[in-house]
Amino acid sequence: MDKNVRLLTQESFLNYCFRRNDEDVRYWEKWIAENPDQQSEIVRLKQLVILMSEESGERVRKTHYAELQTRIKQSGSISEQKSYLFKKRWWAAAAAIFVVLSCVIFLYKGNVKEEIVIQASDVSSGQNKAILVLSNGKSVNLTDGSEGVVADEAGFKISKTSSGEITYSRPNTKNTGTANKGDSYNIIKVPAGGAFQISLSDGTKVWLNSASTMKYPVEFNGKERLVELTGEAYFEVAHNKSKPFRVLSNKQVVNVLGTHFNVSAYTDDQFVRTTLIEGSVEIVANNKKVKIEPGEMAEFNKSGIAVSKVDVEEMIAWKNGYFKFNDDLESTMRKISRWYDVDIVYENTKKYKDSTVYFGGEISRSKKLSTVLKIMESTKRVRFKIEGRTVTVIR
Amino acid sequence: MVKGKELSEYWSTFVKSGSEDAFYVLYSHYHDYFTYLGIRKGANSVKVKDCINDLFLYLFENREKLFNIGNHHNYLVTSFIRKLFKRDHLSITEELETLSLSDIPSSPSVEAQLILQNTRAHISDLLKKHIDRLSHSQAQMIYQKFYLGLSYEQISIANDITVKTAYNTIYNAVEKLKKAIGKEHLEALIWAISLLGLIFYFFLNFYR
Repeated sequence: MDKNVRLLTQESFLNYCFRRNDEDVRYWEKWIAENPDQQSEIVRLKQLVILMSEESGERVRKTHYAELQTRIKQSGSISEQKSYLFKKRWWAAAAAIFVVLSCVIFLYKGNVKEEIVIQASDVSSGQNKAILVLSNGKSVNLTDGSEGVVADEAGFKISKTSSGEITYSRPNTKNTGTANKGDSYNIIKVPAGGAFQISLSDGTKVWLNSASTMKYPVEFNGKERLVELTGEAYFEVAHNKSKPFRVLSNKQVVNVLGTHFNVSAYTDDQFVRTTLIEGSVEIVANNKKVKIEPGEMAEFNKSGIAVSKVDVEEMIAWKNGYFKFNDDLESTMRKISRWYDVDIVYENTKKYKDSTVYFGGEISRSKKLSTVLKIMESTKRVRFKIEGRTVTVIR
Repeated sequence: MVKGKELSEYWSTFVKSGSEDAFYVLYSHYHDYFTYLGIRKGANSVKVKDCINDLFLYLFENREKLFNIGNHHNYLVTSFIRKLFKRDHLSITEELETLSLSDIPSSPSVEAQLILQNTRAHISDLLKKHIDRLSHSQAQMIYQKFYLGLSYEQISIANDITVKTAYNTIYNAVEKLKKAIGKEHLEALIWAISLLGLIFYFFLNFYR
C-alpha cells in the first residue's frame, strides 16, 4: 500500500496521468502492457490523482476568491466622498470611513440555488429631497435651488444653507411683539428616495428619513412645542424647560425636555419605535406612560409599550449615512424600498414564515442599489432582480 | 483545457454588465494560470495570491475603464507580471517574453474528464469532504503539484520550505486522502467499469 502512495507522489507517474510528458506517458503505458495484472490498480490510482487534482484546485480557488470578495466589500463600504446631507462634520466623516462590513446569516431553512442574477438596470441612492408646504398652502420644492432664502413665513426667514439644510430665523429682532396671534404650520414632506435636515425656529434640529412627513408650527407660541410625524426622524431638541417638546406620531406622544432621540413611525411598520440617545423622554400611548433612559428603545405596538436596550448605532445609522441591518428579510427590504424609492415584489407569494432569513451588516447608504443587493446575495440565501424601479425577491 | 484567449466572451460580458458569473470564470482560469506563472518565476505563494487578488480587485472596481481593451489576455498577463515585479513598465523584450509564456502543462485530458463525469457523485463528494479537512497549506501544495504540475523544488521555494518538507507534506496529505477514500468506493468503481467493459465486449460480439 505504501508503494502506491509513493507512486501517487512520483513525478513520472503524475506526468503520465496528466499526459504532460511524452516520455513518461510512453514509459507507463509500456509498464502497464508488461504488467497486466496491475492494470486495475493503476487505473484506480490515476482516477484518484485526477480527482485530487480537481478538488484541491476547487478548494484553493474558492478560498482565494472568498478573500477577494472580502476585500471588495471592505473597499465598497468605505464611504465615497459624495456630498451627502447628513455629514455634519465633513472631516470627521472622512476619518470615520472605516465601516466594517460583515454579513452574518442565521440559517433556518435554506433551499436556495447558488446563482446570482445579472441585473439589467440599477438604482442610485437617495438624495436630499423634500417639499415644504407653507401655511398658505403653497408648496416649495426644496430639492433644487441653491442656498438662500426659500420663503418668508410669519416673520421668519426660511433659508437653505450650503450644507442643504433648512433653517428658520428671525431677520430683525425689533419686531417681536404679539404680531402673530394664530399659529402658522408648515409641513415638510420627504419622499421615498429622499432625506432632509431642518432646524426649527427654536433651534431644534430634525433629520428626516425617506418617506417621512412632519407638521410643525413656524413659531412655538404656546405652552408646549408640538410636532407631528409620520415616518422616521432623528431629533436634537433645543433645551427649553418652560416649553416641553412633544412628538406626536401614530397615536403615540413623546414628551421631551431637551434631548437626542429617534422616532420611527412608518405606517407600513406595525410599531412606533422611539430610541433615546441622550437626555430623557417619556412615551405616552394608550393611556400609559413610560420613561426611557439613553440606550433604550420603547416599542409601541398592538400589545402595548415595551422597553428594551438596543444598539443605538443601529437605530440611527441612517442619519449617519449608512444602513445597519439586524432584521428579517421583510424589514430589510422595507428600509431599502424607502431609501431607493423602489417597489418590492416577492416571487414565491407564500411569505416565509417558517423559513425566515435574517440579515446583519452595515453598508453606506450612498451605494447604488445593486451593490447593496449583491452583498445580500453573497449570503446565498436570497436572489434579486432589478427591473426599472421594481426589485423582485427570489428565494 | 481552456486557453485564456478563448475567454473573450466572458471578458466582454463582465466589462459590459459586471456579471459576477463571468467574473468568476475569468478569475478561476487566471488564478490557475497566474499562480503557475508566478511560482515558476520564483515568487512566493502568498505574494502571488495577493497580486492576483489585487489585479482582480482593480478589475472589479474599474470595470468601466476596461472598455477599450481589445486583447484581454495580453492585458491581464502584462498587468499581472508588472504587479508581481512591482514595475511600472516592462521593456519591449520583457513584454514579448511575457506573452510567449507557456500555458499550464495540460491538466485532465478528455479521458479524464469522462472519468470525472462518471464518478462525480460518489467518490468526488467524499474526496471533497476530506480535502476540505486538510490544512490550507496541504491543499495548496497538492494543487500546486497535481493541478499545476510544478516541481518539488519550485513548490519548496514558493512556500518557503525545504524540498524534503514539501515532499513530506504532500506525501502525508495524499496518504491521508487515499486512506479516507477507502477501498469500497474504488472497488465499486472497478466493478462498474468492468461491467461496462463486459457489456461492450458482448455488444461487439453480437454485432460481428
